[in-house]
Amino acid sequence: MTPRRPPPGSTLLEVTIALALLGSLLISAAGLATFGDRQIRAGRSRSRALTIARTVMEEMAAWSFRQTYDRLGCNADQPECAVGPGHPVVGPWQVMAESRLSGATVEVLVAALEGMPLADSRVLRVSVSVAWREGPRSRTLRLMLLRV
Amino acid sequence: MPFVPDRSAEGGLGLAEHLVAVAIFAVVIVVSLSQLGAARRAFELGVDRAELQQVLRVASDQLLRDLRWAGLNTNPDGDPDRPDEAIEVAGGTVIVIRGDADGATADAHDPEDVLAGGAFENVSTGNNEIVGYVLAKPGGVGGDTLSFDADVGEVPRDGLMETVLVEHVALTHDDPPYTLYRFHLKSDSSGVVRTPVIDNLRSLRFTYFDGSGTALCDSCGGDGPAVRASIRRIRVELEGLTRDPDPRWTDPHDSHSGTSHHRKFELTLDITPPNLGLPLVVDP
Repeated sequence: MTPRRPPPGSTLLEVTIALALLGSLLISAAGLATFGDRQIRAGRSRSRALTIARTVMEEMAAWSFRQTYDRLGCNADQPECAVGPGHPVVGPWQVMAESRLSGATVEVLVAALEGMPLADSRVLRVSVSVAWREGPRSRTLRLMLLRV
Repeated sequence: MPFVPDRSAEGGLGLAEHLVAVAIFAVVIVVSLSQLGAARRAFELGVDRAELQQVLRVASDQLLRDLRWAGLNTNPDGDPDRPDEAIEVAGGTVIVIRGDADGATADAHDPEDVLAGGAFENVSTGNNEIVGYVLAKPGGVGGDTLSFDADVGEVPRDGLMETVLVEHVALTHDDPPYTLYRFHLKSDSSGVVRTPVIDNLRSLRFTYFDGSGTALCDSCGGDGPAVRASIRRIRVELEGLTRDPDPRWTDPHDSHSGTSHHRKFELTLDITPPNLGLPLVVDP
């Protein structure tokens, strides 16, 4: 007795698996388009954050060397000083940042490059950080300048 | 005995099976093509938007670089009668600045040496260091003419103002898209040199602030040199358009038929030129 050959063609299970594979490929392709769109939006936010940081840096660059830490109310005996959105000088920058990039916060760090007290330093590192949220992720852009 | 094939045992598909297979294949092809079309459109839009962001950053870099030296050495001897201003025109949609842009180059004394010796012993800014930014329609056409007064005519400088005309510009932005132009005067005062910076702009706005951060005016053109001299910060607002329209999307905030299907991107930058407001040092 010879065994019975299975009928030619695909079974329902095989067709289902093939369609599932095809569907996952299509969904992946659609995901790529969404990913590209997300990247473009991220670029837009980053461009805005950069102009915010530049605006702050522009204003600080017009200050004298000593004003760089005096105006921020820093303790000149310390080697560094960080001020956030609650500071009276940073406050207007914070308002400006929020008007240009939703949820953005501005922080400024002034540090003596040699690690000595700010008052004794010849070189200051000024960092302006702009932080914002993109969906569940938090993003930060930092712009640095050396004051000599 | 002749061979008679048993048709019931043959492999292959019947007509109904063929029809079902073709129908499934057609559905798959239609879904794939629609996905492909959507992906292609998203890709093209992404390229457009990325390019828009890039050109606006280029424009803001260029504006920052030029406007930062406004006022540099415009009055080298502190002569209070000198008509030269750091900001010659402070308009809502146009700005013209003066500054010693070639002070550190081999061109520093050309043509400044020949401009000195008339009404002023020292002249450190030539005509080609009077720089402006304004929009015009693509190709450099437009119905408006910018007019301002500056001491540009005579060699050497006589201290008297001449009227400078910059023709074919757009001072009101009601028919976008526009091209951003940088212009400067020729060294021999024979005209204006225009250079296109970026295309596809919807608008360009300048706002001016004094030292206390108070907005002076949207357009300080008619307020005279005293108000222009009090400017310490310049806000530049650029709004660009994607190169191609997106017919499936309409901007609810834009009623202009030529741009309502274009995506927009705004970039705002504050520039604090360090030489504005520096005290004059009178040459004894």
